Amino acid sequence: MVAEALGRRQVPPGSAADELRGTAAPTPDLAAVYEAHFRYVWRCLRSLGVRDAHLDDALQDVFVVVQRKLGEFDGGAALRTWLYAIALRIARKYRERLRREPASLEQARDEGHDNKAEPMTSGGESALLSNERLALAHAVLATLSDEQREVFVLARVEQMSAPEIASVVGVPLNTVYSRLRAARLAFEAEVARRRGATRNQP
Amino acid sequence: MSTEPEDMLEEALRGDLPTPDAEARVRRRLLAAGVAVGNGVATTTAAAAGASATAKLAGLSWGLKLGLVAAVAIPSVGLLLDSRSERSGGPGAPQVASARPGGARAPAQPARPEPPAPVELAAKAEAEPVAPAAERPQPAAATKATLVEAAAPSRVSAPPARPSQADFAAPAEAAPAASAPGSSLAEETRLLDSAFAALTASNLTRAAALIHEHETRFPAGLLQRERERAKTRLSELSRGE
Repeated sequence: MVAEALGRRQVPPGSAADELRGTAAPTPDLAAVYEAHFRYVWRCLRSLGVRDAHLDDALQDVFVVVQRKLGEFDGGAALRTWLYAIALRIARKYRERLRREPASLEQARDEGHDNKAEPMTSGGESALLSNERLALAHAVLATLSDEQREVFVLARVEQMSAPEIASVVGVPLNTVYSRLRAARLAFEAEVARRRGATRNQP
Repeated sequence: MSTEPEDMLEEALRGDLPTPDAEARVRRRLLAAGVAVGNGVATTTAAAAGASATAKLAGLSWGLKLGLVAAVAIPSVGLLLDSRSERSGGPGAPQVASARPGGARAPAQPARPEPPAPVELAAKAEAEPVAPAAERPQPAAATKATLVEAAAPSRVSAPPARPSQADFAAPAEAAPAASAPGSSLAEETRLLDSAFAALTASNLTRAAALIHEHETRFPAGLLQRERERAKTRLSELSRGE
């Protein structure tokens, strides 16, 4: 499956694996882009704070934009970077919406949009452990500021390089480094805080 | 809940990928919204089509009809006929159509060309309407006021995503469904797909021609609803909305 071969985090971003890169190839086909990157856009949106109840909506928004703009994609950046730039902005809007209208989440759930987006894990105890870790990771991410969270997710989860992140987020490279440093400290501090709280529980 | 070292949490985040069900659900939804993401991988649900598929076809959504075309053309793809998990987009589904921080309601705007490069996207970050109403081929009932849905009439997949019993029973569409061969449906799909693409590209002349061709060749076709949707969109664009 194309999605298995491309975009995996083990593959260095922007490397040869990103075969849909524009310069040598013609404009990539939307279906191929979708196959190659959907799962990672899904993951990225979740890590960036799009709630499960809104996730399908957000994904639709991302790929509607991709469909509209794919013809304009000139290969000036890696396709993955371009996609994440779109996903990042969609995620921002959903976070903002949630802040402004917290009831929208409940509304989406009432309307059956709560997808219970379960991670792909094997069954049994290991699955429970993985889900627990994932829930904790999302909880810790939620304590970061939006700026820190974006940089942290792109760097640590999506394994993007700092220049790529600068391109996606639209900030200078030094800002990426400083935000990432602060985000890592905040992430570690929050994990330590929770660990301490767990230890202190009777 | 026990805490884990940071790297394990990061690993958990990296391993957070969608289930096949979630992928299939989103794919159906995107197809219903007119996003040509392809038919994807074969699933085990092809058999779910069954003998009643033709009878139900008339009431199904745009995406499901597209899916059936694919199932006819490519036997291994029956994804869209999965009767188990068709999911409504819902009238309250949010729209990402306006980046205005104020989130005030605004009239629908046609798509406008914007540079795609990430840096340029970033430069326009907060002000860019990422999914204008012009991209949504299905104007429908207004949704709740939200920041993201302000400029678009509705999410395209909302009403057609879950066919109602009434839809299934609609005699006006059931009749052609029973008699329409797959090749006709494929041709209908091709015409309307091209029409929506022309609308997206603001090529109104071509869109009108394609819609007219569909209306002439398939006056009682399976995709009448989609044709009407395209006509509505065409008239909106013609008025400069």
